[in-house]
Amino acid sequence: MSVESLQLAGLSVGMLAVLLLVWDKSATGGIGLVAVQAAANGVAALAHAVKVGSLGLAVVVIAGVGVKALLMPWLLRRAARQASVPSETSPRLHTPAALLVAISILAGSVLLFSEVASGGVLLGIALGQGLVGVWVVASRRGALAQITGVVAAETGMGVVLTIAGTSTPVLELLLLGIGLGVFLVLLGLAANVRRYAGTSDVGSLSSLTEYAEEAEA
Amino acid sequence: MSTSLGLLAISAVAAALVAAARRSHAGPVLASVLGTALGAGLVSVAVLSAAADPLSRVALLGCGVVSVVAFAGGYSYYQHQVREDHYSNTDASLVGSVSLLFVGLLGAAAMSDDVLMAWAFIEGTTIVGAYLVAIGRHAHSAEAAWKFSVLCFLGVGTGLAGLGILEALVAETASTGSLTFDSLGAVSASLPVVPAAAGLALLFVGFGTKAGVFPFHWWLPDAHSQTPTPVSALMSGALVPTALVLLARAWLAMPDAAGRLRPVLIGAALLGLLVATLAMAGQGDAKRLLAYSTVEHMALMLVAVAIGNGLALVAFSLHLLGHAVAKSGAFMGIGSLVESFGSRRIDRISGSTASTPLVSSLVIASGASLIGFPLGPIFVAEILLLIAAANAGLSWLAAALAVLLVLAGAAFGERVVRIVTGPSRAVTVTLGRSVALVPLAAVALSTVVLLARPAALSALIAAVASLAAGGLG
Repeated sequence: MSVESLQLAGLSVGMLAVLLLVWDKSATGGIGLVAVQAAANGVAALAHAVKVGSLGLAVVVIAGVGVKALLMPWLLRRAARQASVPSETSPRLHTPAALLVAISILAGSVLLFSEVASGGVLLGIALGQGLVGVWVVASRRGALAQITGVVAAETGMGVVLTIAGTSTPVLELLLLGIGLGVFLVLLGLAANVRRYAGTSDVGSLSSLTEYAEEAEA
Repeated sequence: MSTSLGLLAISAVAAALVAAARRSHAGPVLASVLGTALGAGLVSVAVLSAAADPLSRVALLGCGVVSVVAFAGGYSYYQHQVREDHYSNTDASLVGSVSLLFVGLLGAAAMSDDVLMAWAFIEGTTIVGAYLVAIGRHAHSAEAAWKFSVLCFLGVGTGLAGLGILEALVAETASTGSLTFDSLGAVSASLPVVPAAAGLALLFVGFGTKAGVFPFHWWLPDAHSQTPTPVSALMSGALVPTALVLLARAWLAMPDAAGRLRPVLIGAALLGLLVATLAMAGQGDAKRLLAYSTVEHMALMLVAVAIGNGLALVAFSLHLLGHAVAKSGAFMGIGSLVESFGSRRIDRISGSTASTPLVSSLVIASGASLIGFPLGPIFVAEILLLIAAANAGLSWLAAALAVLLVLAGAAFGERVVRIVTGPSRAVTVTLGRSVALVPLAAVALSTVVLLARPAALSALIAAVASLAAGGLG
């Protein structure tokens, strides 16, 4: 199997995982899917590291898979247990419609970047994953569901940079650090929302109006 | 890159010192002193770094001035918050500490030639900014912090994908190391236009989100209404324009791709102006009013970037500097009224002139500057922008901008007049004079500097004008 085929296979599995993320409304199902996406994209990134012969890049990619496929899902499950998050029965958008939009985003992304001389399809799939992650955030109401969307978006967009071919181990490490920082901040903020607003349904937060201070008091 | 990392390291050390002193009363004082010194340092670096990119220097100058205003005036603000039991001493120190890091990240982003590192520094401001928005510890600050973080992480993350695309395209064309604004400019003519424009469009989403550009501006009113006033000043006067400068640098480096996106930018800017004007008209919350004013000013600066000729870039730079001074002053002034009256509602803080003449003077001076009162930097910038649009053959744009400017000025001006006039009411001003004196001096100085046109400023403006490569006209 060539490196390109391996990358295509990895990114395709990642793509399938983010599509299922749009479909899955259970409290913790999405957590497993972002783990699968991270692992599958990790295969594509690792194949790139092998192709360019960079041991440092390979080590950082493996560390990244560890963080995104193991550590983050573990922390998310823990947070879901603590908050007793229910399944999302009323997402912002009807599921088939959300899936249709997600598939359109992916197709558009692949078509757009087919013009790039080499690796256009791979870049398109990776970018599509990132944009579908954004769509997950837009279409879901739960704080943890939105965090899984942010993680999916970051995983997709991060791998764009890796397979673009100019990334270095230091840059990958920096991106991994930023990704982890973003994740921990969001996890903390989700707990903050639950504590002060009394809900995990961030889609229902709409109290910030011009006279919000009255409710503060 | 060494300047960026140096600025970041200095701010990190300052932040650590303040954090270490958080349990003593010295924490907020130390934050104020170190923040003011850091701001003055940024101004010095901007003036002395003649070899650096002119737009970077403009951004750094803006960051420096806003930092001086926010930290020097901020001491009274945080003292008041501690006295009123809104914050503990530790909270006030930690907000100061994180604000120092925030400014360091902005300075580093402004001076970074490496596009990816600039992106990373901007993403860093979201990570530390989340703490500053959430500090209120109530339902509204929790909601604002969530919206700020999710929107900014997604927007800036989308910018990362754009960087990936541009990296791939540049790697196809030339074997370069890291992607810098210069290397992007060097190969941009040989890049395939459609993918390059797509990469630039994603960068527009990334930096545009942090710049509060329509339609990614939602976080601004919510975050500004919940952050401590000095932090609002930093966000509006320093963060938002710095992100716009990074977008402008990428835009100017890729004239062909930029040409494809010009209608998108102009459309976003005009819609942003309209939305901000509608939101300001009859706005009841004083801090949200200032946030929408920022959306308006960013829209005007975005038009200047989109036109991209020499005159437009000069207008952009003057606007950025004028806005930095006036908006930080407006936030400190209105923030003082909000604290003194205990309300953000304009109908409850109106009639402040008699009880708070100094603060009211600041609100009037900064408000006048923001609506483009003659002789102020923003007035000059707006006139130059209209001329630049007309020179570029976009008379319709100049006409539309003129109409929208009058409407936005009227909407904002009416609210400011309502704040300082109206039935007089007695209130005890509990904030020290420094909260108003420093910003008032800065607003006055900005007009004096503009009229005196010192050699350093003239040279900087000339260097900015020379950046126009693929602009209109």
